[in-house]
Amino acid sequence: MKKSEVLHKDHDEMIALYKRMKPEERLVAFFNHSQLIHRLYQAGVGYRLRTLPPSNEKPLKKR
Amino acid sequence: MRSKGPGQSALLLLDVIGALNRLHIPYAIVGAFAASFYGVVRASMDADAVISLQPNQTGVKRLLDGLRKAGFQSTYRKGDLSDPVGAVVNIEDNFRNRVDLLMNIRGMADAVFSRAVEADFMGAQIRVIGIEDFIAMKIFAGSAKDLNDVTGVLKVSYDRINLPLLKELAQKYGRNALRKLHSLLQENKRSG
Repeated sequence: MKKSEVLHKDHDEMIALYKRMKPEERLVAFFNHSQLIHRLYQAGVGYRLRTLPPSNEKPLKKR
Repeated sequence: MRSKGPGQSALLLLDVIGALNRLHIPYAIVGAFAASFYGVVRASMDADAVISLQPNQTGVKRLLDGLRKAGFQSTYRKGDLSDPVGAVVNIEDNFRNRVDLLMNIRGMADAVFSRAVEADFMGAQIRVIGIEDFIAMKIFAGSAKDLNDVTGVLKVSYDRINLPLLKELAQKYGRNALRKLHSLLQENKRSG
């Protein structure tokens, strides 16, 4: 598809935002983000186990 | 507000969802967060959702007023006529967490919102774009990152996809999207 200009500008803003952060801030941000994404991933595993045909998929161990 | 530091766009998204629900604006989570939900974890730190709102003056004003009343700082950016994304509302908090609300995506029908799936996340109900819509959108977007997401999702969930629906959705995005879908399905059927 044709690239979206609005999304492209948005992406540039995101990069600028992270450039303004100190390395330590980026590390904390990534740590927090990873924890939340792990919870979201688990929500997806739970959804698949709850609603769809059984598979061998197992939830990751809780950290 | 739920967010207490950087890297918590997911929590900001939950607050934004609360505001969208109060405004009765249908939404579906898309992008990296939906990819994680469907089994492909990647590092993009902003949260994206599509909303059912035409980018006209009345609808947008209602949304922006509603967000302001709920305490959010937001900016609105409209795409030109050739842009496949009609408009984006960006919401940012003091910790640099970001949520993008996309509207009027070319080829996307309103049924996307009724097909979105409900899930529990951090004690709140969220709506995530349906897997077939997710794959069709990603194929339409077409970057290497998007197609990697599709491959990952097919590896996790190939046998759970409604293939006739997926083909119908891909067709709406054009002949190239359908061709790409067929090729990805073939590759992942072989590997799965």
